[in-house]
Amino acid sequence: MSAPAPADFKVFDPTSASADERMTRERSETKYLIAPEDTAALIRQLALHLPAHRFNGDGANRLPDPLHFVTTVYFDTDSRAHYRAAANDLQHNVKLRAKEYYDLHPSLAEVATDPRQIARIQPWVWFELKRREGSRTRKRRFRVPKQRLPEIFVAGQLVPEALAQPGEGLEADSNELREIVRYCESLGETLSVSCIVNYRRLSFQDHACGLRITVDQGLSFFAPPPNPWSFEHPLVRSSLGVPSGALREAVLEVKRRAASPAWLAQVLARAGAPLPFSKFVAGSRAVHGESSER
Amino acid sequence: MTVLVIALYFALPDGDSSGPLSKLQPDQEVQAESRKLDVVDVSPADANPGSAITVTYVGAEEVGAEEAQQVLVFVGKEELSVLARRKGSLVARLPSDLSEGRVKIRVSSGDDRSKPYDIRIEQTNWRRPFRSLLGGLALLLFGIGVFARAAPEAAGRQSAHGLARLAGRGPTALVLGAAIGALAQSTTAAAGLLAGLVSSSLLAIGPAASAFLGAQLGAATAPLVTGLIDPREGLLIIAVGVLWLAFAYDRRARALARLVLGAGLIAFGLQTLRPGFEPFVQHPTLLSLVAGLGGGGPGDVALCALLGVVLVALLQGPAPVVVLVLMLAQTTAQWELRTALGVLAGAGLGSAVGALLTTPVVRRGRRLAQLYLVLGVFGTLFAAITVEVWASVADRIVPGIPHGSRWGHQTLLPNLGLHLGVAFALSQLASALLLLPFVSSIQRALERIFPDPVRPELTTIGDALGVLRAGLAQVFSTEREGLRRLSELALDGSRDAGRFTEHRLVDAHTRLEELLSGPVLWLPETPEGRALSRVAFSSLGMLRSLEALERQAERLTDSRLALAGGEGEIAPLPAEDSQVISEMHELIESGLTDVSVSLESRALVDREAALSREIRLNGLEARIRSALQSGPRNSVAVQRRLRVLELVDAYEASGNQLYRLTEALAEWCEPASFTRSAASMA
Repeated sequence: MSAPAPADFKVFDPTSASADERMTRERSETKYLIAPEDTAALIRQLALHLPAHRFNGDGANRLPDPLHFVTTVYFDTDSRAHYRAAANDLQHNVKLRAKEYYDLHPSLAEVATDPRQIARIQPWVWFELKRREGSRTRKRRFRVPKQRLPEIFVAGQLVPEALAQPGEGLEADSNELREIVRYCESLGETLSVSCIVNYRRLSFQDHACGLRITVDQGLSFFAPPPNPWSFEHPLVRSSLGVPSGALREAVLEVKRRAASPAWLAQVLARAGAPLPFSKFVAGSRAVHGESSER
Repeated sequence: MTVLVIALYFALPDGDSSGPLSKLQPDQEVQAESRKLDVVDVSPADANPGSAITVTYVGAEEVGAEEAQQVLVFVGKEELSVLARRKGSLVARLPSDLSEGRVKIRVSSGDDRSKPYDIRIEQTNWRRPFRSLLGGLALLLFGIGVFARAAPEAAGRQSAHGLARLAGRGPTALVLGAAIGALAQSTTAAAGLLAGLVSSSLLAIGPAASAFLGAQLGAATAPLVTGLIDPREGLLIIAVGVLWLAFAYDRRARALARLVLGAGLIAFGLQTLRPGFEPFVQHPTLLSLVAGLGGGGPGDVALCALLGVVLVALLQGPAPVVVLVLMLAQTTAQWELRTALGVLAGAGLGSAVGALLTTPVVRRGRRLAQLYLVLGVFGTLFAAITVEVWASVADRIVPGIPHGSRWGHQTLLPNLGLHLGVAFALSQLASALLLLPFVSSIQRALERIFPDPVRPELTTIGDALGVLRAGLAQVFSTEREGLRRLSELALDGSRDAGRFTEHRLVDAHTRLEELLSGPVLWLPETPEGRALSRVAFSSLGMLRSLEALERQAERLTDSRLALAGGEGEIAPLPAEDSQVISEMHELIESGLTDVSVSLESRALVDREAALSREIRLNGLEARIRSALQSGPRNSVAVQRRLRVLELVDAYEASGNQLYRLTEALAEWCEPASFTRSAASMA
């Protein structure tokens, strides 16, 4: 199996990262569960204080009025090591996942001749290693073009060796990539898809990129399909099948690299106390139950 | 309500009594008492210079026939030229240079001279026949159009199938035509109705021609048999049609109403048209001509038939000519059955000539008119050749006549009337039955001799792609011109702007139709040819949406004027509505500009911009929709908002078409797709 070409991988370089990327990479996170009847009012309140945020980097969708969706593919070992660790301690755990971001434009339904035309799919997925230490999180991630996925994801299992030698020409600091590979190798078990979580995301961020608030609605949990990255169908909700479970509440996450503004406390007063919540734990539980075996 | 209206109408007295002829019959007591020469009547009492008058006199009856020839007539001291005479009356021509005013008419016989009889001389009013001709023709053509458009809407699949089956067989087509002719009492009206059915593809040309043969029979004989619907009742039929239209609750009901309205307009149009021909028919020249006919030889029969052709064509059918022939026979006292029948022999060709008013204006009308004319020629020839036969048959089978025709204001010669009617009916029936089997053959022969014109092939031009591309650029440019002023109509209610836009869109439509029926058909079967063909057809969708947009903007202006309540100034649109309309208009304009530039320069289409535009248009439309739900709740505000929403929907629909056009253009602009396709075809 040949290693993917180096130019296919884009690894985050912390020395030249924009503020936006820094916010993505490392921040403190606090989560709230919002009742469905309170979500709309809360969003209106947030919109008064923060501008809407959307990805504007390489390959970004520039069309107006998109509905942003995220599909997260969580990996776990056969013994559900990640799940057990996270279930035992939501504040201290590691998650390995791949994310597919896509936008829907329902108003294009009038002119679409194929359902795929109303979706804007990015041609890559983001592999992430996310560590949570209390309220602080650290992410290491890299982007992989979808057409290379069969090389690193074989027979439903992640092949870390395929990531091990990205080749020459990689952007500076391949430590993150190696960190991910080392981590995968350290597990001593094969990694495969544990569960899939899909949700619609609304994102707000201040101009200084010190505060980002996301509201995730319509969380649904799905069992892994035989081949999650079939290139005929992107990982949009309609291709994931029947959900194994769903969350009524919306998940509001406050991600900060700076002090929290005063208005935020007032807005969040209705949200109640922050709760430790893990989409991965909820998803894995919905798909596999409480057992430690799959 | 319809039944009530009709019943009330027919219950009212119509006032049609025998009028002037009663004056023609000299009072017996007067005759017994006086032998003095005296004028008892001059008709018309208001005459035109140069026209003919009928002078009825008494006091000369006991004079011998030779002396009756010596009765002279004078206006003032000037002797008048006598055109025709019979016992007790004569027809004379007034001088053309008579001035307006009262004049005195006298008759003299030898030394005997009557007292003066005053009549009034009026200058010929040419405006009345002129407006009768034009107005009647306009109503006739309008009525045919209304009828033709309503017929396919009123007829469902079963009705159309039934009509086709009915008319498909010759004899039933004949009967159908006779019924139409009897109801319409005019061959021109019948031709108009049949042309409408042909135009709407409910009736084929052959069956229509067969039906027309029957229509001549029905139109000629119905008034002699029974007083069916008098063409004067055209107004009543129009009233019924309007009544139905007012209460119609669905599409089919409205179509039926328009069908009735169209039939009424046709009947009323003919009724209005006929007086336009009166000055020509009543011209003394005709009387002079008529007086010379009646010798009985083939030449005379031919002349009679020719006269009949002209009269039937002018008077829109044979029935009025029957009346006129009887009037002339009475007036001149020189005609008898065979002469009258000879004139009526021209009915076939005359009806066909009269039908030219209605047939060429509709689709496939030219072929129908040709068929009518050929059948008319043969029908007239047959009728002229067999005059003696039918006159003899009528003489044998008709002992006497119980009543006369209702046409005209005079009681006609009763003996001649029924004989003529029977002979004419038999002649027409025989002619129709003889010609019926040959209708299809004649139609096929006409199609061979006069084939439909074929468009010249474009291959001689050599570059269908280039021609189409240049043509489409022209279409887009014209659309943009029109669109530029559409916002003035939408926002300010400017009708001038609306007219300008409408004209430009009509121009664009005409040009696009030419392209679609021309260069598009000759595009090469290559990827580029197919792609450009798709662009052309997408352009049609775009154009139709712009036309709908313009109509919707006009309707918005209509409603704003209505809501203004007669105050003259229409209220400006709410600021948000104006803003949304302006934004949508700019988006459509910019999209059309992009499309034009891409077509002309073959620059790659910005699909992202097109998608963005589509999304923004949809978002603006959603904004107005939600404003409708949250705005003021009074009926005026809701009405106003609904009209705005209709316009906004039309903009959004144009946006969809614009997007599809952009997609089609993108396929054409991207040469990579052609390269791959070409390679795969190699």
